[in-house]
Amino acid sequence: MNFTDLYDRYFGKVYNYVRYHVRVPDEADDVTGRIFEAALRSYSAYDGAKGPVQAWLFTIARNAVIDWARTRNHRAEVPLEAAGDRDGGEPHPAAALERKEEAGLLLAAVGTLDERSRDIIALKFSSGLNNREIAQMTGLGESNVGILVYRAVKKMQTFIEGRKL
Amino acid sequence: MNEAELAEKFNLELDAVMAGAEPAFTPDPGAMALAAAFARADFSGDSLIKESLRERIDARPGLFETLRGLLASGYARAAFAAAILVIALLPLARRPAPERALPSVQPIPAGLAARPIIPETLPGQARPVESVFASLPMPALRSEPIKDFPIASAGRMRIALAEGREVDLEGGSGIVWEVEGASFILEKRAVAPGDLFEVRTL
Repeated sequence: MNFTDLYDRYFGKVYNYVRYHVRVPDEADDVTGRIFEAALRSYSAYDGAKGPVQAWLFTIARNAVIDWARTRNHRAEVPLEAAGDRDGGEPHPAAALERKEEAGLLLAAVGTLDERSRDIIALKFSSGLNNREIAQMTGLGESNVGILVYRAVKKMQTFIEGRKL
Repeated sequence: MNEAELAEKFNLELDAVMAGAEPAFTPDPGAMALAAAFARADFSGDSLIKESLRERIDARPGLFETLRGLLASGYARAAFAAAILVIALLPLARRPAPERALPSVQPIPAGLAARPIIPETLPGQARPVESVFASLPMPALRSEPIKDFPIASAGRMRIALAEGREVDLEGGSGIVWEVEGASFILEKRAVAPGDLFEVRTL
């Protein structure tokens, strides 16, 4: 797989992972760009025998997000209004608006989680890695990852149900 | 069912949902519906860099383009030329020094310098070549009487012929000439190019 193919295949997943942490779209673009630039620089050194390519790529993505949080000295919590405020120039049919509202609600729900749970949720729903691979990447136990996913979903469910009332 | 069992069951069904199955999870259908919403969520439509970043990746230079770009720079071109020169001169730097110094050249006396190097009357079939070298066939030398040896006394550089005898040498023959104060051998033997020329390789 050449790097362009890898980019086409994983751009959306990496961007989604970043958005769970960096909810301002401009900053998410910036961090995503840095991830793929770093990946491009080190792609020649990637050894497929050491693990799947998405594990390698999301390790780079995690480091980039950690660097972003460290340098900006803030967590990924931003006002809800700042998230999902791009329409990309597309028309606003009801379905698109509904998807946009749903995306904003999901990101707001993720914003209620602590950093570790948010990272687990981001990896679980964007990377395509299973719990075992996420456990290897994060240094947690596989069963711990499963419990963290379940607790995080329950917490976000409570948040969303509270918003709908 | 405790939390660990619920979490295990939830994750098993979640993996199935992410693989395309319908969400169920009877203990808490709402939680699984929310997880399914996360599984299908795609925020990448918000990105403004997807296409531009892809173009930059496609346009990244390969090795050939990188070399061509370097050579377009005057500084890099000069450095490249200097590197080629160093490589070309490297054999000279590796050439071993002569084992002993060559004897110093003595100035030719004024009276001798005006004389021709090769005498006007050469023995036998000798033929002057561009007035410097003369071909003296060995049979002709053998047939000439010793007293006709062409080197003659000249002022202070007196050379007197004392004896001449033929000897067998490896791969040929020669004549030992003994003159005043020294002796030398005039050889005739087959030689290879390597005996005459130094072979140099880069």
